Amino acid sequence: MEKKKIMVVDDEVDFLKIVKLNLEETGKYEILALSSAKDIISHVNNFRPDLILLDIVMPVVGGIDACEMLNKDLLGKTIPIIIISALDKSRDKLKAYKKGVVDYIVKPIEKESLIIKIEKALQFK
Amino acid sequence: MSVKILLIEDNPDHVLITKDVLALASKDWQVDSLGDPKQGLKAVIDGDYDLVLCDYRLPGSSALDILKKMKEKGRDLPFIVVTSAGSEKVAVDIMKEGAYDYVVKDETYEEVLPLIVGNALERHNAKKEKERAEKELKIAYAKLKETQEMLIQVEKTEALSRMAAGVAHEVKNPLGIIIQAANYLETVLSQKDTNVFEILGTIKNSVKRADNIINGLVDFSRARELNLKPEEINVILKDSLVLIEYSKNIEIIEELSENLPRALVDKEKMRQVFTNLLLNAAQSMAKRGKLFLRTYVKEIDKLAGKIEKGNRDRFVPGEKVMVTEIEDTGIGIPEEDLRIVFDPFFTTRGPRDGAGLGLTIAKNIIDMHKGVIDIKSRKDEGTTVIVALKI
Repeated sequence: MEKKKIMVVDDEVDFLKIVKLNLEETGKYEILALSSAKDIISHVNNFRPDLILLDIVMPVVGGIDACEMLNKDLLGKTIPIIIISALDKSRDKLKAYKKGVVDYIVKPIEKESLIIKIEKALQFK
Repeated sequence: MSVKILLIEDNPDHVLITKDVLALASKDWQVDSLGDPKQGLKAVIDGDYDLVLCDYRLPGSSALDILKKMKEKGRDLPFIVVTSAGSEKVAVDIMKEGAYDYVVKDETYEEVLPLIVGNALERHNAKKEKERAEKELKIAYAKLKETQEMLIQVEKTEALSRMAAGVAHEVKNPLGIIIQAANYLETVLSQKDTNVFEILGTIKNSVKRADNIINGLVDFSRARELNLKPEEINVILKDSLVLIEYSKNIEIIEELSENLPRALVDKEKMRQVFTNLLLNAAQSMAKRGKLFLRTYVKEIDKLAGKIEKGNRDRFVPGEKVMVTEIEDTGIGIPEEDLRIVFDPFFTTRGPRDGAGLGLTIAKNIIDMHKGVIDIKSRKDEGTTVIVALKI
């Protein structure tokens, strides 16, 4: 079975590293881990992910701005996005859902739950 | 405006003269006279006079005695002493005791008396006006202080809210890393060493505990804005019951009034209150028990046995309130703990079962609705939580 491509964008490098390990360990996913959303469009067009896991609070380009950039991109707007953030206010969630994200995960989340949400989101593709 | 003057004088001639003089001076001055000092004192204390005119020498008493007793009883009236010629020194001494003025019975009496009475009344009115203004100023100052304290409290709550949100974000990020790291180690190590597996479980539970505390703190700090709409309390209560987990051996007894008016509440926040209360009740009856849910409308005065006086006083006497009671037959709360159950982080349960913010948040939310929450409990017998809301 072909591995699903997932792009993980988070400025927490340790988080990136461990989520990459956890998801790759399942044998089901190929991961591209990015510590910044600055060049997200070129990465999307090169890597062509099936799903994006995106943090909100990041320097330079935040998650919500990255969503806007993706929504304007021909390929980017077809890729389901899951927000994975430590922010849990309903207005942060609302802001993200208004940008078309398919799910919003508040950290901390266990690997098992994360995979369930990823599989669900992949159905949007 | 009519001014009532009491003349205490045992000499009938002087009574006549004084009454004539005052009647001529002003038609508004009504003079009553008493010759007996005891009756005079009683009239000073119990009567509704505006001024007292008292002869210095009285049978078996003196103006000084009457003045002292008047002061003792807290009566504040302009008190003028009438003295014979040559007794001015005595009169001055009496003034030191608090008399307004004195008048000497000599050839100037008829001329001077109306001036002194008029002057005393004017001074007394000015004094009363000043006292009234000072009282109003004190009330205004108290209100200002109260508003200032409220603003400080709002600022503090907002600062706490900002801080809690900031702390939550900063703590949840590393918690996210720890739990994912534990998950990874579980996958690669669990097969080899059972101790490692157990320790990883402890790490994950600790992360969840820390996360619960952070969430509780954020909930607590956020509970300051209400989205008020007319809602059915029975529906919110039943919805909350669905959200909690409880033993199958707990019997739920619903005694919900069918004719409740809608209450103006924030549905989500009230659900949070009821969920917290129901969870406490369910956890206090780990094995079996009865959970009574009651709603009804009653006058606040008729809830004396259920709601403390201080809380009842927050409503107008006779005001009808909407009551929700959650009663359990659980382990109860020891008397010494009852007064601190609403304190933040107070909990009788283990650290895994909550941060001890449930009742604090519930009280905060009920306070914001201008309602009250009270708890009656007996150890080993059960607990009743009563929430009363304005209708």
